[in-house]
Amino acid sequence: MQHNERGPQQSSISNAQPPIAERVARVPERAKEKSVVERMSTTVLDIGRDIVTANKKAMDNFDGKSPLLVAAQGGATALVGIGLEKVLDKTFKKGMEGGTLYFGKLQIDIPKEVADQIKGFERSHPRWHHFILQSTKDLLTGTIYNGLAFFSRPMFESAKAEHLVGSLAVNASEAMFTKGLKSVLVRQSAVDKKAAIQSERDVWQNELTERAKLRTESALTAQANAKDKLNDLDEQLNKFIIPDEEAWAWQSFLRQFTTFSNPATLLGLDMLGRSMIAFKDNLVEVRKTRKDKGIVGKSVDMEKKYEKKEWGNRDSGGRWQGNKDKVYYGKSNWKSADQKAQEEYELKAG
Amino acid sequence: MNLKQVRTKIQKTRLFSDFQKIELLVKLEEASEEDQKKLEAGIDVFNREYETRMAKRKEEMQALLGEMVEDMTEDEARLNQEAIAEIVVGLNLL
Repeated sequence: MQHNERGPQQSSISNAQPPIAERVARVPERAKEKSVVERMSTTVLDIGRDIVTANKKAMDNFDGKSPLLVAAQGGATALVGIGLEKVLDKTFKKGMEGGTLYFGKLQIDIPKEVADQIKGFERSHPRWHHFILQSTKDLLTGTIYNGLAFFSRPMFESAKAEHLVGSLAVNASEAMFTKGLKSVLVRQSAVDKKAAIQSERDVWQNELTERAKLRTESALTAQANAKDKLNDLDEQLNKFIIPDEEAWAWQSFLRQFTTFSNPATLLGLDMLGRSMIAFKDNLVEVRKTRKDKGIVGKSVDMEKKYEKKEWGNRDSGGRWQGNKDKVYYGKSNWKSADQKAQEEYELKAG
Repeated sequence: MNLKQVRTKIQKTRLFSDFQKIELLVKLEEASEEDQKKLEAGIDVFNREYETRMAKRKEEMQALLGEMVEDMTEDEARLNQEAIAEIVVGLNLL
């Protein structure tokens, strides 16, 4: 996690956000021709491209063959890493089922309950599970990098404990941050569930727009909360206690701090990418269900004006008085039970 | 050359994996000042690019998410509840 670097971005969340409409207006015009899911998918791909571009720009500065610059270029690391990974993969998988991982003189115990907990993630949160496995493996590989006599000689003769600890300290803050976000996610889920129940009650009163606004606000609040959490964790990091070499027990240290680790960027990207897949799947499913049930024979995009005019009116108190003869499915995609009105609209729409 | 500053930058950047960071921290002290400067410059370039681009993309995603949520039907909103929450977390992770 980049505490300093992320600071300005995070702090902007707490400031007054421009209205949704204004932000929507900033999306390039050509992109508006696509559906929202398509545009979001494009943006996610753009994020991936942006990361690659930023990487390349940095790499332009690492022109050289000195050990430091070669390490920065990542080639040697990748080769050694892949080699080690292949060797370790089988052992690692076995260890993750609960047991002891042996790497030469190094030995790491993974208790059954921890293994079960990780296994549980595989079912409940497959992405977290993948992340835990990959990040733990990454750090394990780093740990034994110097411990093994790779190619018959130590890779880092001058490696000292603080090199590893220094890096892990940052990872630990990342782990806490990620866990903090997880709790935000859980809270968000509870809020969403409550909102969903409320939505059920309101479905006949055409208050979707208001609820959608609330839901959007709720999402933005979650972000603001995450920012607060980040600030708290920054403070915690300052108080972070790094164990001295004598007290350095790898088993407990790794277990304590590497549940989640550094590849947060990849996790973030992964979460966005998979959410896009979920959106597509869900939307297809909903539409298929509608079709199967004969709710919508033909997809009709109703104009807001038409919907308000035909479906109901607000009373003097601002409450929506809907016509219950018509079935409301959504602001922009609904079918009237009054087939005549529907047919008339379709005729008008051509 | 402020080694401490470079060390901090290595630890905090999103440019390198954990594994690479360890490798760089070890090799940093033995590296020439010129190489240290190159490394620092590279990290700075990356951080600038990354932050600028991510800020822009986050804004785009938030706008699109707002638009999507507003237009969702009830059943779509229910089904996508988890995906929406994940997007919010995912954006914060970037």
